[in-house]
Amino acid sequence: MSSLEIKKLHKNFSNYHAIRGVDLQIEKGEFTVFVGPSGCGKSTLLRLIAGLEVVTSGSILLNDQDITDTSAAERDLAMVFQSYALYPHMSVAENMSFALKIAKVDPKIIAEKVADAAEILQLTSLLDRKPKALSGGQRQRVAIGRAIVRQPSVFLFDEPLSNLDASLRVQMRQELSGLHKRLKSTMIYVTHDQVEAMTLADKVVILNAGNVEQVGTPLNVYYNPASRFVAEFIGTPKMSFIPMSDDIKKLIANEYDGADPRKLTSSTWLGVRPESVTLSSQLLTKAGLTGKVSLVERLGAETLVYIDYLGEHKITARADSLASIEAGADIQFSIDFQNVHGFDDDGLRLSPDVTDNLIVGNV
Amino acid sequence: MNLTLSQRKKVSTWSLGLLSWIVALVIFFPILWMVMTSFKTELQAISTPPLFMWEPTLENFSVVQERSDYFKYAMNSVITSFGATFLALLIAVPAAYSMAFSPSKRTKDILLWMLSTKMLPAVGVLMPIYLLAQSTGLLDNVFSLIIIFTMINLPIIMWMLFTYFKEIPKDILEACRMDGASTFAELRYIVMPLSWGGIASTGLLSIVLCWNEAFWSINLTAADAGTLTALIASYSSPEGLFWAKLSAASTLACAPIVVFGWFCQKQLVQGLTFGAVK
Ligand SMILES: Nc1ncnc2c1ncn2[C@@H]1O[C@H](COP(=O)(O)OP(=O)(O)O)[C@@H](O)[C@H]1O
Ligand SMILES: [Mg+2]
Repeated sequence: MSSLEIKKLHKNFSNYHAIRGVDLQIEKGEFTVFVGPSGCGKSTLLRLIAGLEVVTSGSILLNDQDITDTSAAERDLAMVFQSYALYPHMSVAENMSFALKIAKVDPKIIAEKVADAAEILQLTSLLDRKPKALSGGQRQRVAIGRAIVRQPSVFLFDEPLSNLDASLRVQMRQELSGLHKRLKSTMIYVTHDQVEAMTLADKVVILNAGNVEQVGTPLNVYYNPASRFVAEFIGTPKMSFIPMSDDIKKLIANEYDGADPRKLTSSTWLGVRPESVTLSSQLLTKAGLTGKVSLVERLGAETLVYIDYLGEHKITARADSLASIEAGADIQFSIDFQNVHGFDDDGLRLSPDVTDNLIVGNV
Repeated sequence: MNLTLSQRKKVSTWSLGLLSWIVALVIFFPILWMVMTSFKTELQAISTPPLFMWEPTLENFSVVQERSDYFKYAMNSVITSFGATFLALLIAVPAAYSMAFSPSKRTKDILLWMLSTKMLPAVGVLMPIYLLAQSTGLLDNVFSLIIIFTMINLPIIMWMLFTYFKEIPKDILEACRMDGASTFAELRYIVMPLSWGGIASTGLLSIVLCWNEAFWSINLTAADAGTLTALIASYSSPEGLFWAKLSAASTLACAPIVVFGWFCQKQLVQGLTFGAVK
């Protein structure tokens, strides 16, 4: 188990500033997930940690030791690649034992460790196969096995599940989570999929254009997004954003008897999650806001309703599975302002944290 | 004529087959003629119309062996072509590795520049190289041939290895590095095994090219370090042309490499189509 610290890290590719001053602390045994849209620098950050890219400036410390200038081979970190990167000319067992063989470990011990890892990953019957005779999920397991066998200081994963089909991805996600609980190792995991981030992470690091946008527990970044970027990125369906208007100001005043504890009226944008929107099917109820249904998505368990409010601003709401709502109809809805966030012009959140007891592990 | 699709396919397969047989025969004919002539007497060799039926004789071969020690020349050919190929691979494998996996801005230019040296007519550098060999006392010496063969084949070997190495996904090498492998271990356990077919076929090609190289061995060697190509050349000499003996010498010079090529055929084809199949 190891801790990792990143200080003022920068990475320039010839003419592109990919990592722009990242500071980060990763604790022993923590499962950290780097998440962000494609091209934001997640892989680059992971590869800098791995030693596969050369740092432009800043430093990386592993267990308080500076490893910035240590070669990848000497860092004692294991990486699982998106493409699996198995050695095609070696059997599963050889793939898994390669690192130990290079380190000149006693063949008996190697055999034991490979057998153990194969057992954990249900690869025992496949040990003699070559990678090309394996399915995608099995290859993924071998890639993970190759990392486990080494008992590295830190596990690095670069979008390891993105080449799998949806159901296998869910299964592997759960297995990875179980693996972390079992090994209790420090793991860093890169993904663009916020569901993976939410479900796997002890700590989520949200990256945006080479900067760390926010660090926190999954629920904390969900309930208390630091910026509009985070608010929009975390959570499905996405948070909706409504421009501040006099109508809304009136509703807020109603709700809070003139006070404004969530600093909503001084915001330019309100961030509203679908669960804070309540639809009223009867036009007679005084719901407060009126819009036009632009799209209805029936997912079976629930129905998503997209509402045009003030012309162009779409608000997403949830409705019952069989709710009789049709696209094109006018609809009335209300917003629960207790759980709404206000954002300023720069996209920063003005509202104080939601300090609900429900938020686990609030940091 | 209304043929079904499968009939038309058959017709085109047949005509293509016929065409390739004709082309192969045309290419092969001079070699066949050479081998036939080597079993004739000098008189039969120059008779018009040419003889297709005659009583074969081995006389030419014994004359060739008598006049000049065939086995010595053959040995020189073996030493120079294998030696030069080994040396070239020793240089080219690490060089191509670094060009393929840590290219710089100039890598493409360097590759082109290396190839451009092949466009220079060899005779253009005959004088300096001859003088260099003379002043270092390496005239008529297999070492100078090995060095020159290495250098003339190096660009092609580099190019071939470079393209084979390029086929290896970068991720695999990075995974290997993460597994703690040094550059040497990476070459030995990953790059070499994965491009084994390519390295072998490059080596084979280099051996064939060295074996057939005539210009430098004729100009830089005499009795001591002469290769088989120099031996053949010596038969078109002052005493006039002796077709049968020249053919016998040529047949003897070609035979080893043809047999060698025949045995390595599978490896060669595999190596040369490496990129296409994968
Ligand atoms: N070797 C490279 N040379 C130049 N630019 C690169 C290189 N690798 C990554 N980049 C750029 O850096 C940015 C971040 O890339 P990456 O870390 O791969 O993003 P992602 O978050 O999708 O993993 C991208 O804009 C990419 O084009
Ligand atoms: Mg990436």
